[in-house]
Amino acid sequence: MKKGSLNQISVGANFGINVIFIFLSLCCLIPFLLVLSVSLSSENAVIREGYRLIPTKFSLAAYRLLMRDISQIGRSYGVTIIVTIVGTLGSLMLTALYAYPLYRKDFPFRRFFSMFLFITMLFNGGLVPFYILYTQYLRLKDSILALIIPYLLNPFYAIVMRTFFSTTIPESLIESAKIDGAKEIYILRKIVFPLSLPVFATIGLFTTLVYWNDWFLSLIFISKSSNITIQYYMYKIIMNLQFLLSNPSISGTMAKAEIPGETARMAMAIIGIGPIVLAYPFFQRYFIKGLTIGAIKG
Amino acid sequence: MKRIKSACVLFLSIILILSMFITACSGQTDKGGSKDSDTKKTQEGQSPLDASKLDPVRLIMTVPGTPQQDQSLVNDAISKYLKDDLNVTIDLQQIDWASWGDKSNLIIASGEECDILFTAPWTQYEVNAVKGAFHELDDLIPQYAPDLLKTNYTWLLDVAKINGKIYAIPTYQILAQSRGFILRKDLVDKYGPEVNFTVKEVNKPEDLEPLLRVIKKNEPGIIPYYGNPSKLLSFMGPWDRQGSTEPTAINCYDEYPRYVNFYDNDFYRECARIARRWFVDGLVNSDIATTKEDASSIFAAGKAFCFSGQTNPAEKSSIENAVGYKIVMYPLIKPIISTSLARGAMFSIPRQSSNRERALMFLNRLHTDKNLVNMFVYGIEGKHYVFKDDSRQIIEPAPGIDPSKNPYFNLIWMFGNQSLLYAYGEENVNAANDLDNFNQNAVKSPALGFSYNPEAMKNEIAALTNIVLEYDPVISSGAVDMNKDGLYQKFLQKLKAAGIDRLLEDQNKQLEEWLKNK
Repeated sequence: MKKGSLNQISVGANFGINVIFIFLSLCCLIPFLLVLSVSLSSENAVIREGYRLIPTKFSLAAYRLLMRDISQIGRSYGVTIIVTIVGTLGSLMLTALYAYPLYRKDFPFRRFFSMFLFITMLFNGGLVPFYILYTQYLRLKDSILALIIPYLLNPFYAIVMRTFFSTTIPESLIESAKIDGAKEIYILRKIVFPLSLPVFATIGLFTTLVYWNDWFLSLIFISKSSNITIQYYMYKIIMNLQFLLSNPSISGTMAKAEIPGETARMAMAIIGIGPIVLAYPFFQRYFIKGLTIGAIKG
Repeated sequence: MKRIKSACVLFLSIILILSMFITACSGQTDKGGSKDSDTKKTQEGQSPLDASKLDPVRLIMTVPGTPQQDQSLVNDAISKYLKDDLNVTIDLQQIDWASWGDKSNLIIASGEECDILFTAPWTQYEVNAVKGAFHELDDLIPQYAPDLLKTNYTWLLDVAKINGKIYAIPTYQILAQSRGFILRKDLVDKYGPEVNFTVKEVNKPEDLEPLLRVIKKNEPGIIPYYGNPSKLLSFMGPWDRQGSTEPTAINCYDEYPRYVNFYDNDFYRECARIARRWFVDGLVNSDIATTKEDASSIFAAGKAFCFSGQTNPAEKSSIENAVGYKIVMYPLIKPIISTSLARGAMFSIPRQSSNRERALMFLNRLHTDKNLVNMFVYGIEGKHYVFKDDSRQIIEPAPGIDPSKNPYFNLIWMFGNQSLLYAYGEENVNAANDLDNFNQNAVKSPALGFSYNPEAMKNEIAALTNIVLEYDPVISSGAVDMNKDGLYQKFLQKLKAAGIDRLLEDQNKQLEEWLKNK
């Protein structure tokens, strides 16, 4: 019981902290609800009365409008999902395989590869050489691979993973496995990976988000609409709209019908959020565990 | 020691591999280069227009716009059409407006394959021309694009000149701009006679005032004039000016061009006075100084009687389509042609293109070949459009095609010569004539063809723009009385302190220089 009372906080503080966090949660939640509500309102009501938290006139017109473009949306959704899954798995694999040798003290080029990794974190060639490499040497323009490869190995995550290995997996564990006759691959698969699930989950979550939310790679590498991601599809529609509004001389000749209304844009945002909201609760389990395990072992 | 040694070996081997990679690539480009000079040689020996002796060439044409569903079909049709006399395959690639800025810069910077690239002042024509991103075309035009020198708009080529050289071929489209108010026709018809409202060729903003007052009195739900900070009354003058925040401008009505302080002249002060009167009397929206709302969408929602914008008669029907009301145009100035308007749509041949002669021959055709231009804009006859009236060359969407979801309908102002287009629907039957008349009757800015190079004055312009953004919207929208607490005087003083005189001096010096060499 003594331990419990040590961890106990006063009623006032408890109340205060709860109020602060409820407030912060509402700050995140209300804009989201607003988007949802606008997407379910009728276009006229939004123009007349502005954004409302509860739709004054319920309508599914915005979603029906999006349904008309279902083939493109479906296609982009598929691209995003494939890119996210393949990208996240590939990225975890590559990061782990880079980080693990760096953790092993008996790896001869450890220093060199740490430095090599570190330098890419500080310096990069800039956008144009990046673009030239992918389009002219690797010939990946318009290819779905161009959406995956650039984010495969993030040096920062590799360093995080290496640090995690060296703080949670004692070297003696690997030595004893060796003595018992385990090969390197076996050690990696049966000992290192299972012990490192928390860091995999953490980095996996980050990479999933990076892949899911990415529109920039589509913007620079993809010009065929069949291979763009859903985020870029939405970015494109909204940017086109802004561009045309700010350059009336160009848009003068274009029918306004092409331009989606407020509600349609909000509906797109809702669709874009999609299954990614489910990723949080899934990864969160490991996320918390990762933090606590780290703390107890110290 | 051993570790260092092996690290060295590894490092060296990486360098070796990289260098092999690089030499392999440069070898490739060498090959491309020699092939290029071969074709040039064969071409120089013969007449450039003898198609049977031209090698087949693929021209990649990159332009901004919404990618069209049937683009590849139309590309094929155009290529087939051009096969016999130019022997080129056209690959028109459209890049979304949203990514055009990034992508066009990447194409220029990375030297990616491209033979014809759209350019305009808003996509940094001047900067790229000076940087050497485009081929100079002066020497090639007489030989490869002779028809360009026979059009009735040859002056346009001079407008495209930067430092005396042509870097792009301008498209003949709506080159002039007339500014004024766009009014709702039903309300003009209803209340106009009451106040003896008439529309002349050039009007005064004061003459609109009685009508605004009647609307205010009788139509409570409608804002007489909906404005926003990017298009205030002071902007509606005869100014040759790049953006809405430029502190200086040239008056197009002047015989002799000279940059003046945009904010320190009688025109500006008069506009501010009128705007203030309208604001105080509630004839405008109360958030005019801050709103980011697009005035035309408020108008389209039926909540405004008028807004300010371009009043080109040629664009009347497209505005009517966009806002959903019949409109009356109330121009405040004669149409003017400024450098940036005349350079509004151009095709350049980027430095990396190895087919510049053929590209230029093709651009030449875009200015003379009616079939070609119409294919680019309307697509394939019978598939995307059909003739409704052959003799008057009126077309309509092909049967079974929903006009709002046409799989091919491109921008009418982009390709070569807009006056060659067929009339799309009965109402556009005179469009080509209207276009010619509008352009020919427009006032040419006395500094037409001059573009200011702001390199030396970048800091001043940034500082001045900030001051303008702070003061101009409240003063020229009328939201605050310009004489209150010496607001306007403070504005002018701040502009002076930020170096507007230095900017004017630099601009006028460059302008003088340009006039001398003209």
